[in-house]
Amino acid sequence: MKHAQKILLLAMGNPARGDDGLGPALASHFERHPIDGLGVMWNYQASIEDAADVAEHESVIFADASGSGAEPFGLHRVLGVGPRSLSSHDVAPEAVITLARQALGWQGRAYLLGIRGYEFGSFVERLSDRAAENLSVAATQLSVHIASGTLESIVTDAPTTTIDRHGAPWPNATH
Amino acid sequence: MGTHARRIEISPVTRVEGHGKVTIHLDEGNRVIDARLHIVEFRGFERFIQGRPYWEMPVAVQRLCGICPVSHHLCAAKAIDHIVGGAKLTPTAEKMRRLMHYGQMFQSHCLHFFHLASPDLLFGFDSDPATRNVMGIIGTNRDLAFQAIMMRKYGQEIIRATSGKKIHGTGAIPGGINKSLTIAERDALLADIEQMKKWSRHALDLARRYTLANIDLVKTFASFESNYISIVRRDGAMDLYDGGLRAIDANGGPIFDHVPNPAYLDVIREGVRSWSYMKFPFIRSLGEEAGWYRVGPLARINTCDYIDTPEAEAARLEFKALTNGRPNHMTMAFHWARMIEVVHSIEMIERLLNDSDLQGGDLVVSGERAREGVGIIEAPRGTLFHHYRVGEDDLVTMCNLIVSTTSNNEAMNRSVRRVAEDCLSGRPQITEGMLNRIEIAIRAYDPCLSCATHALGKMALVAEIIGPDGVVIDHKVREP
Repeated sequence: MKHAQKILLLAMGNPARGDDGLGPALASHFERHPIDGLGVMWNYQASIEDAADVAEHESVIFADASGSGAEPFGLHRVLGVGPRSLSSHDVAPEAVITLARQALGWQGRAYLLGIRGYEFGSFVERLSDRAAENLSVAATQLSVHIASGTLESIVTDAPTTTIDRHGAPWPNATH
Repeated sequence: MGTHARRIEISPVTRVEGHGKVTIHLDEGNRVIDARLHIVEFRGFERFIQGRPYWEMPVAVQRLCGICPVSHHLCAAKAIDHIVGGAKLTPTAEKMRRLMHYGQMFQSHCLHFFHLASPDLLFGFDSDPATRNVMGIIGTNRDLAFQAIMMRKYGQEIIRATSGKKIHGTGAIPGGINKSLTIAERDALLADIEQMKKWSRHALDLARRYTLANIDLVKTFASFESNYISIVRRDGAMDLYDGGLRAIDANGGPIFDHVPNPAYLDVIREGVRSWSYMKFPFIRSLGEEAGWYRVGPLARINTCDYIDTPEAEAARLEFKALTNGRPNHMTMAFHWARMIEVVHSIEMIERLLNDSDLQGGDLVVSGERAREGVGIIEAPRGTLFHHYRVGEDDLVTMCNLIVSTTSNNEAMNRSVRRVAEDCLSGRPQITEGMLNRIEIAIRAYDPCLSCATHALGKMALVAEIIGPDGVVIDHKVREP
């Protein structure tokens, strides 16, 4: 399969829910400061058809806010596991990866970038100061390592959790 | 309830969109006394958008759902069109909205059929729950899984091209649309149209063959006679975007026909019950007891006189032949009807993409300001009503939404009860397969419980058998 861009940044989150907007904010950063070989998408959440977009790239980075993960961010490998049920309201990155691998034959690498956020409960369209600082560090680091092809060097083994739109922990998002 | 009665609870129901639970009350002989589908979260949209400017409605109200936001987006826009005196859209605006709508219908029906319903149909109601899911589909029929993803993506790309975003777009505005379709967008979508038509026919054939091969089961499972409602075009054709209200009774006789959208309250009323946050709409002339009705694909096939696209019409005729032209009351036939609409949608998408009006530049109309607007549309799950009143200060003073799943509320409850009586009543043990049958009955309607109540979240299945003293005497959990 021909890859238009090598890496897909698939950012998730709701900009109207405080730090849940970290993912979209990162996507916005890379739309304003594009990197060669990096495709950018964002949505409120992952969707089933994202598998088709993933399959057009060599690697994918799911970017989401993290409620309890590493500061300022953590980058983790995502392994596809078998989702037993899908709905358009709730699709985890592993489900997207599993669909891409098993239904579309994709063999690329998948990462989950968890940018640490702190304020998720309120209906505000801005990041907290600490989350904004974490976003800045994540964007800089990602730029450097994508451009130099050294993304693997900043992968951590530590587990993390991501945050869904309600701010509830989303366990086992990474492996 | 007798002193030895017990209650079974399925909470939340799986492989549906949103949160719900089922409770089944049994007497001391394990006979079903009552069975109910409860909607466990509360929808506050009608109240909390009061005080907001009317022009926000097409964008704001769609936030109550992540799967059918396009339906709410367009329905709100249709209602607000009346507020701005722009109900008669330009050809470009109406056709762009229609294209968006058929894209939504296509992707939503495909998602439901392939990802949520097909494991039950392909593997059987009692098959191993460990594989009776989308991963089981991938494992046994990778081509089908591939089609499911690509068909859903195609519909979403249409939505993106017409509304700006796959989820919560902004294309429809009061009195029109904010963009036309570029030649490049059109050609990109046309490039895949033949493949989508081919896969749609395949999906239709799957649903048709399932129904015919299991006709004895389908005829009775969760089924009963009912009234049906949809909108239809002026000539009686199926029209998913616009038309007058039509209701038929269980024999196909007319209850009302071509009722203008603003007069919906003359024919529809909403009841409430203490145990559910969902309302119970009914046909006013028949009263609350007899006036409940069904909406959605089965209702639309039952109510329309014909379908204005050749392949879907041929499929409709075969569908109607099954019941000798009378209304089809088989709840599991929702799936076949839904796939007829998939074929109809892709035929309409092709027709629209080849219409040069989509490249027009006349996008918005306006006229005399009004204080009230009603929009009605056929959402994937059925007839959707949006009704707004607006003050002189442009702020919304009243909002009433009747969403499709709400209209099917009574019918879903009856289906649950029918299955409970047929499959559970008098049995000493409750098996997973029995519980799955309850969910299969609900899934046939493709309910969006989020729409009905604005609920979102993860779904597991928990079944509890509770004794008369409130103590849980049996407990089953099935992760999604």
